[in-house]
Amino acid sequence: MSDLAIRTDGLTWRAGQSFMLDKVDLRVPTGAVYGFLGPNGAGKTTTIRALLGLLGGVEGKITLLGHDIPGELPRALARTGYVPERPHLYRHFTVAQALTYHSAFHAQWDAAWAESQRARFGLALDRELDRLSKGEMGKLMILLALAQRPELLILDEPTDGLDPVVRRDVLSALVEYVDERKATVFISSHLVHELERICDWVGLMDMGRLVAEMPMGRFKAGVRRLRLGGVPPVPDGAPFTLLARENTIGRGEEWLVRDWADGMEQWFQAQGSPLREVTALDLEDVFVELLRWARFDRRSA
Amino acid sequence: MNGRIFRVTLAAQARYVAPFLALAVLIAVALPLATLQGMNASEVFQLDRAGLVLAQSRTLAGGYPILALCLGLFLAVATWLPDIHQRWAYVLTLPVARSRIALIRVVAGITLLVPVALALWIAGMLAARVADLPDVVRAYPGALTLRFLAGGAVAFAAGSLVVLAGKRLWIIPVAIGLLLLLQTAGLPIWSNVIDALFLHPLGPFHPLAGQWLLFDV
Repeated sequence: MSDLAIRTDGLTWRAGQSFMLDKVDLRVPTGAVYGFLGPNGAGKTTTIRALLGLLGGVEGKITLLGHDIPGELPRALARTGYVPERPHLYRHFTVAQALTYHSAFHAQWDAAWAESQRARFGLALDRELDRLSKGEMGKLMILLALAQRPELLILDEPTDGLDPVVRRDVLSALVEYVDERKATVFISSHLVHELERICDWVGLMDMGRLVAEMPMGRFKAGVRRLRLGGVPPVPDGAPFTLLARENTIGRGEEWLVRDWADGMEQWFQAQGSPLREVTALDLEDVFVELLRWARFDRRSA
Repeated sequence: MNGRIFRVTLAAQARYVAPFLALAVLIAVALPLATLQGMNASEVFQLDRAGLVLAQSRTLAGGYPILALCLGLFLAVATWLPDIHQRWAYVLTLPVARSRIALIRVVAGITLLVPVALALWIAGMLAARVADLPDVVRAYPGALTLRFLAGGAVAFAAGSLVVLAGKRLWIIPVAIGLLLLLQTAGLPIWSNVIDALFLHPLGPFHPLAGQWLLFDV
């Protein structure tokens, strides 16, 4: 088995003259729950559509569970469950018909599990999909994706627009499955706190580019915003990692750093740059800051 | 798994078009029986009956290709419409090669012509039996049914190509416009193309052309 469930090299896709995806190099470890973060319009859904062979004219290399895309797409899809951003099932089906139809395409379909989960979700077999509420449709989508017993789940904003109760139901079904099967999950969302609870890897997209990719622990650990009185030199040998820096015009600099620990203030004293303020950031703050800094870097470039 | 995929595909398509299919079956039954209209009048003699049935057979002959054409086109649109609504996201993420799933869809769509053709054949046989015609007039329910199946399949294939052409659909009206323009300029390309498509025995639309007679001499 490959160490990477998803790998892209230089994944690029243009719509007209503009880049929708620009040299995206994804590395999703096998067995990881990988949160694919980014603001609306960052290119998350486009990336997912490229991974699943739904886009034409894609440049770069895509590998899903060791299968080249699009050459070995059916073999990859046989091992992959997919929940799109917008429900893609045929609206004239009933729940029973949707289950029967979907199961016919998946050799590993677990009918007993699907039936028990359907009952747990309270989905009536004779309900037409057109008449399902958004929450019921969300439950059905995750049920179909999980009942095919995939090794990889690709979920595009699976809980977007769902109420907290349904969201909890959907996420707990997902977590149970991952615990049981050790499946890889690639889940996109702009709801940072939702992913914080379940993900162990994070990728951050912005404006068609992969801005950051790292384990969740590292993403969260000791990220601080520092307000400095002066302009210290480039911090070679610093005890922390400088993620980004921004000149605040005559008032020194702001730094975004990772791996911060108490006592590191002394390093600034040694550099002769007064450290005026240290602000701890939660995941959402880190997300927003990284985006802000990435955009600042791009404008500067 | 192939057989199961075909069965669920056929069932899904059948449910989607069931009301229209029922209507097509009714029309397929009505057309041959309508050929016999007025035959029971006591003043109609044996030879008059033959003339009457031949005349009515010719009058109604246009109904069969129209039914085949409408049914084929409708089934083609209905086969792909749910995917167009969902922007192909579902069907293209099913773990089957795209060529195979297209083939399964087409075979399932053409299979749905069978109940209508069967109804036509049974009604044609029934009409031939009750017509009580002189030997000089013969009924052709089998040939008519085969022609109906071929015409429906051709219409289905053409409809599918048009639907699947997607954004490239503009090519068809542009090509027709160009041919008509050349025709008005004195180059008989349009009529040659129509002849090749409909009248030549190997033309793809040949099954839809010609006389569709249930009764003939």
